[in-house]
Amino acid sequence: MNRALVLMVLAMACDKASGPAPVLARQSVCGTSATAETKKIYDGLKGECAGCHVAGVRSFFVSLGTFQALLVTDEKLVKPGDPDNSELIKLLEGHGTGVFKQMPIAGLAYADRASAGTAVNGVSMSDVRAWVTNLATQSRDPRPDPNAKVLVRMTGQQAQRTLYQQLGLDNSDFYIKAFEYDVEMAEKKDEDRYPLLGPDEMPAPRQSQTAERFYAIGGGSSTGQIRADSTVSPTYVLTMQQTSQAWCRFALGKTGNTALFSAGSMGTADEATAKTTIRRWGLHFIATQLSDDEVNALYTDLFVPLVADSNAGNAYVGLCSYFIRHPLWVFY
Amino acid sequence: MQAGLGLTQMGLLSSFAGRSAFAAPTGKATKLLTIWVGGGLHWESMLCPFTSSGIAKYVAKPEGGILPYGYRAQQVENWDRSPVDLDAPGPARKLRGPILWNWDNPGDASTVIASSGGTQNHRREGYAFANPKYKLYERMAVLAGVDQGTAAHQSGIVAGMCGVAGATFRAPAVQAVVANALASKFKDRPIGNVVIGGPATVSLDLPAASSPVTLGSAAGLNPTLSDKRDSSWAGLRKRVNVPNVPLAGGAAAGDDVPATRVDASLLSALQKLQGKSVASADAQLEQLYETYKGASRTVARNVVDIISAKKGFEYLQAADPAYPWPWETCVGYSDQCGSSGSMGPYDFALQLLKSDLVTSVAMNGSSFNNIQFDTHGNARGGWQQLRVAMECVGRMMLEMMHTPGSTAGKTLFDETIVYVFSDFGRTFDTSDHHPATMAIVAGGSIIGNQLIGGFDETIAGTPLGVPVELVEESGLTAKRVPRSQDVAATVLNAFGLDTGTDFFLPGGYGVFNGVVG
Repeated sequence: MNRALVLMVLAMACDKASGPAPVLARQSVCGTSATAETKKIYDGLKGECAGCHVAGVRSFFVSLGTFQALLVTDEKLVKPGDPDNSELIKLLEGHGTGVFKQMPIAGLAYADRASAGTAVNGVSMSDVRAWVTNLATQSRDPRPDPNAKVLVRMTGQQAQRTLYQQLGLDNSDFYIKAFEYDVEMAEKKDEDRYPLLGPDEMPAPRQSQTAERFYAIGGGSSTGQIRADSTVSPTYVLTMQQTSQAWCRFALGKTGNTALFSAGSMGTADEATAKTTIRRWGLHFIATQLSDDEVNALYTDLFVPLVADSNAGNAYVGLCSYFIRHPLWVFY
Repeated sequence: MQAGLGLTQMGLLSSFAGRSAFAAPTGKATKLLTIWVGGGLHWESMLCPFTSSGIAKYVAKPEGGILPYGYRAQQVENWDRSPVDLDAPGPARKLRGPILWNWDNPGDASTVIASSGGTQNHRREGYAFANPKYKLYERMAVLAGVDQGTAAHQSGIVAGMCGVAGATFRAPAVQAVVANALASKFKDRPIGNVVIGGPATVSLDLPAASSPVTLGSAAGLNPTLSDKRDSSWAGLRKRVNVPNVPLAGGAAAGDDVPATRVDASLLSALQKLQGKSVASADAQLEQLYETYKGASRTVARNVVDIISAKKGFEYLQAADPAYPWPWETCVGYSDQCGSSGSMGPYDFALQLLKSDLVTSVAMNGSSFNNIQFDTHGNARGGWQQLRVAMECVGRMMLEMMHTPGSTAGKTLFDETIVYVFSDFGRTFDTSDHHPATMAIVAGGSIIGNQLIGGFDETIAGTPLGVPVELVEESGLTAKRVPRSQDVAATVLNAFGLDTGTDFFLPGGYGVFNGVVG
């Protein structure tokens, strides 16, 4: 919904600028519009090109708009007035300078298809050249910036390794050595600990549940040909909820573990310890210096009620899992 | 994922995402079961879209004895036992296929099939579709000669699920679209889009309620969907009611969110981050916020107990001892045998559908021992195995026909569209990947006993499909070779969703004419 809103705002901005504002100003904001001649070339090439170029960063043939915005205004592909140095012309004629020497990739290059009359609804190569020759200087819409920073969810593997590090855990907490045909494998100790290990790890997990849990938090496997998923799906959320609670509990109870508390100081419900812990875990888990108000709110709204529900130990488990499921932990 | 989408498509998808409330018209299906039979299929081993000369041209001569392979025109019959006219002009025909079972004694797995010229023995697999006692064929249609747009496995699976071939999804999977469309009508279904086998039913940027939830098995629900395990939940189970407000604030909807104390704090943290960064960041935060709310409702409902209390197969075996569950079968001289329990999570799918907690269930189907059908150069090997897999699909539908629905007077089958698909078809001669495939749609308001489409029999080798009647996006009827988009559109149309209005598929699409009632 937000994305639709952004598109709408962009469209409105372009429309507004196209009114009384100077043409150059409009171009600097919105990019050059497609001409009737460009439409003719787009229609002529579409039959041979749209089979592939309708997705991803080279989705030139989704519409005339994408043809104009992504191809015509890209100087690496089209140099107005200079067809001989335009990569598009070189590719269509079969002497491209990049990874691909021709387009379409297989069979005859476009120019040969056009001259043989086999290009689907094709336009002649001379018309394409003439179009580039007569093309006015183009201005590209700078938005959206493909290099702009975006919010990314931590992958399954990053999540697992980060948790090991932040909670002071490692494989030996979840697995023992086992062998299959003399190959070392990871045998899970106890399903109640929510073991989680990718199937491509060495040693690989013997039990399918641990790999399934890995898939559930985003996983991905080269050997299993399973694509990684970095959406915040319900599967991810539900699995991280239980796993984070179980791992926090295990880490807090692990003898000699100083990742979350310095030795000998854990588990007390007194206000000073709790607030110090909240402040420290803000830095530890989400790299954030929490304000006094934020610390107080977490203490009052989360820690105290959890202590009242059961005890301080469980309250620290809840607090720890809060930080692991915090948006600043989930995304980076 | 979004990198795989053009700006135009993202815009269209986003505008669709905002339209989250599509009421299913009276009489339309309200649940979806999709069964992916993996590997690319020799559909023609079960279903015959050919004329008599096409059979002679494309199908191997019958052979194999107790392990049948191939057939001849004399073996093909209509499943309703009306006289078969193989050479009647297509492309819409009655459902038909090579009859390997003994009509007089369906359990017969030994005597010789006379119409095979004495080369094959009777096999019972496939009879579930044609059994005159239940007339399942009257509730199913087969869409044939569909151009999947690819001959690559992953790409074909994507095409079967969303309608458009590609390495990544360019439109949400039909399961997600249906889950999204029905979410507002069935607010008491906490998990709309469930995957219990096969690839994830990608929702792209549809609202969070339609995102796929992957469940391994009935036994594995606890570590995902319940708060039963003390090792995770001790001291953290108490829930408080949090007003159901949008991330950006505003009026609360009437239904409070039953959140744990940790969840409540997280919802608050998300609200405080909203509006601090760019719009795309807020969109991600909104997705997480809504998913946290949905997860709270799901766990609070104690759905594991509800699902576990439901039985899988129960009604069919009680009514008809010929259909026990589980059932065993063998291929050949009993040298390969297995149980229905290893043909896919059918039992679990039934539990989920009966629980009324889900809208869409996506599962994988196979022959026994999870045998799939990527049968390069070995069409013989998969021929009878596919009939085994299809028999299980048929028995699933029979069980659904016997299962009371959630509405009085309706069965689960009445309420559900069953969609069976594969990666693609296989070349008739060399058993290689082939983009022309088939699909089964059944249940709900599907107009059955139809085999629509076929193959261009003027072509040697393995041809593509023939033109069929499609109601295009524009509303006009056209005749052209069907594509995967058209199958997806037909499945969605069976839920009362309109092409071009309620959903969008890149590349244009039509609905098979006369399939959805």
